Amino acid sequence: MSLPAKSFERVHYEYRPAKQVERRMLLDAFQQLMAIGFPIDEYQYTGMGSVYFVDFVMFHRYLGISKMLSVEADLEIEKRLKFNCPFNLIRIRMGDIADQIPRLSQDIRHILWLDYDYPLTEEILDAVLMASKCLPGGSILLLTIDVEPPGEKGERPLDWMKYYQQEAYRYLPPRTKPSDFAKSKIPAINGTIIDNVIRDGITGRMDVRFHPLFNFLYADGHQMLSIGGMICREEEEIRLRALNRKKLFFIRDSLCSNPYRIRVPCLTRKERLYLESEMPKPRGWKPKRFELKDEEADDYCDIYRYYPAYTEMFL
Amino acid sequence: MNNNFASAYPRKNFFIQMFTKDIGLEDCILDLIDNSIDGLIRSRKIKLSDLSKWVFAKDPKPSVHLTGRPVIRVTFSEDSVKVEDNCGGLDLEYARNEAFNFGHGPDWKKGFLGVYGVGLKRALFKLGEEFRIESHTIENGFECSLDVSEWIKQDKSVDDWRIPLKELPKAHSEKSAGTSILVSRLHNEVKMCVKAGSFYKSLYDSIRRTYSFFIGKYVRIYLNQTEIEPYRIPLSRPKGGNVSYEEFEKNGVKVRIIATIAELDDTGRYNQALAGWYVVCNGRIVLLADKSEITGWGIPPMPTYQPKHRCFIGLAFFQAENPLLLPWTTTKTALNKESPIYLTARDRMAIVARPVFSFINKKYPSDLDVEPIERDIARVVESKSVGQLVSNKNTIFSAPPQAQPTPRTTTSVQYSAKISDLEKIRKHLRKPKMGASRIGEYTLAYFLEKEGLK
Repeated sequence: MSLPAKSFERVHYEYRPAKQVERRMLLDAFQQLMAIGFPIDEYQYTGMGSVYFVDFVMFHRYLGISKMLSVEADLEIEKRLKFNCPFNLIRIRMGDIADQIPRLSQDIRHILWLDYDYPLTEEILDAVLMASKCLPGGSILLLTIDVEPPGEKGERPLDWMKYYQQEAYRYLPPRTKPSDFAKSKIPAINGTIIDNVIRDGITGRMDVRFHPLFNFLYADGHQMLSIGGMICREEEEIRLRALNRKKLFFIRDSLCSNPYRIRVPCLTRKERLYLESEMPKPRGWKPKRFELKDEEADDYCDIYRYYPAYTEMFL
Repeated sequence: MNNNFASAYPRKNFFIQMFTKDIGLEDCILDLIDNSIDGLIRSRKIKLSDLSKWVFAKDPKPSVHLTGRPVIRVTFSEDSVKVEDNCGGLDLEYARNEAFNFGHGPDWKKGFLGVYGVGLKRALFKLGEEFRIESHTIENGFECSLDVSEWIKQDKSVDDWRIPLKELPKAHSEKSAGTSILVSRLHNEVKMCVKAGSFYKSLYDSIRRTYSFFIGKYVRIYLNQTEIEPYRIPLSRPKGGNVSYEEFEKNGVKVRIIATIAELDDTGRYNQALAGWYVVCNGRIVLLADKSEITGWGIPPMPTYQPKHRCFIGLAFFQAENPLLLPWTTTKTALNKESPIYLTARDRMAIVARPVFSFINKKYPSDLDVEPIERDIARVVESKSVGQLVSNKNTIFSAPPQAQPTPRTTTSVQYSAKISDLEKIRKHLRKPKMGASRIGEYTLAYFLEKEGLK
């Protein structure tokens, strides 16, 4: 399979609205976790900041996280990374993130975001497996992958099935057939694979289980799946019961089904300002001043707090 | 006869003919040596935890000078197998009430190599038709002889399971206290095996490897008059760097894991036979240079063993006062892979080994010659004993930075193409003399350009 060009070269990371909504939802969730006693500000954030470091900036500014590590696999952009690094406190390591995971401190808790811009590969599963084996209790594991059909144009579910069999054979359910790999089912099969990998990863850990929290599906072009949760000991499991799930309506209990679909309606600045002045409103509400499809209005009601605003700035 | 009960009587036949099929001949002889070592543990009040401390000591020294150490002598021929020792002997009361039972009772004292209470009996039955045991402690002595083929015929009640035992005088001194086990009228399959030309060496290697830590510290073992030299696990440490090391304790089992680079063998190469995981339970080496799934190879995130891993070496050292908690099987030559402590340890083994695999992977790009790389790796490591490798509680493998070659930005691509297809391209481009490799470069560049990748 030919991998797409590096996504940071194709699209400006700051202008991916659905991705930004996801980041803001995560931020909200982490703030809620802080409110119920998880000291998120003392966690280490380890991510794949690329040259933009958007998540690093947000998590440092709004969560107060000051232990930060960015891991970059592309050895050709080391200088560029260091040049763009927004805070001195961010450490940068070059290489495969799976190699860095065993080096994460066992004395602190972590947020680890394995943020890939291509479809699931054996190497990605390796990193997820290492993370679920290594992350101390109370840590949060996130994974983002491309869930467009893998391969080239013109390929069919049989080809996609072969791809996933090659990359993730041991984690696929038995007796899968091409129809299980239909385009609409690819996110779910990815979720199932990752769920199996994580469960395999924590097999040897008698004191923890994995508690799913996030299952986002969105597209800023390519359809992406972002899933994750917390490695929990009993104490964290009990503490998580206090999480306000009504407020965090996007929280999910399964990696395999019922993802929260982030849909960002395309609006003009004027439309957006109007809609915002009407918020909050329940689903089913419709704007009076202009036409908006029912589902777009519902989507906006859901995500208005997280909706990013972009404007051109003349410097 | 009470009709409300079904009979669940143990048949001698099961223990003599069936139970013995699950163990190999060499492992039976190792079980007899375990019996001698347990005699030593009993009589000298040795703690198995002391052995671990010794193994992990910076400068391990034998507790007793070589010449003063007890001796275990193993001799075999087509007629008999004999194991005799001056390791302190079996106590008469212990022999009467415990030693010949199948399995231990709930009051079984811990801290021995003997785990399940089956090894000695299974070995005796496996080897031959007749055995004689004579033992003297500094307080008492006994002998027992059994013709197994006669004994098996009487099997009507639990009383038929008793073994005749005769009291003997005590030993003259601690040095002469010990046990002698002679098994004669060997079974045909045993005779066939012991007369094989390779058996002697194979048994020598098994003993040497299994008891390498015991031979180093507590005992001397002879096989047919040849003193067995302890086996040294070929560990080394990166010069100025660290091995990966982790220790943890869970449910009464202390686990220490080391992963590092091996030392070169005598011929100056990495020996494939010595690479892999060594698993030790209470000082007894259970798996040696294992490269199979049982130690995680091929189970993600551990890679499948490949020749480039021949410089990898790992040690998983389990220690428990209660040997039942350890993950070994009854033969002590395999692991119970469903054991919770082993599942945890196997996870940690994969994690501890990971930095070593990263190091190896960086050294071995897929298309380079292997030998110069091996020499390159060997230059940065130095041989060490187990204890010398472990400096802090937990460490992560690191090798000193070496002059790194500039990372490769290109690789060669080679594939077969139809001559007729190449001809079509030449015609299309009107370049009849365009070489095949040039066509390859041209088409790759074309793809990158047209797909917007360049």
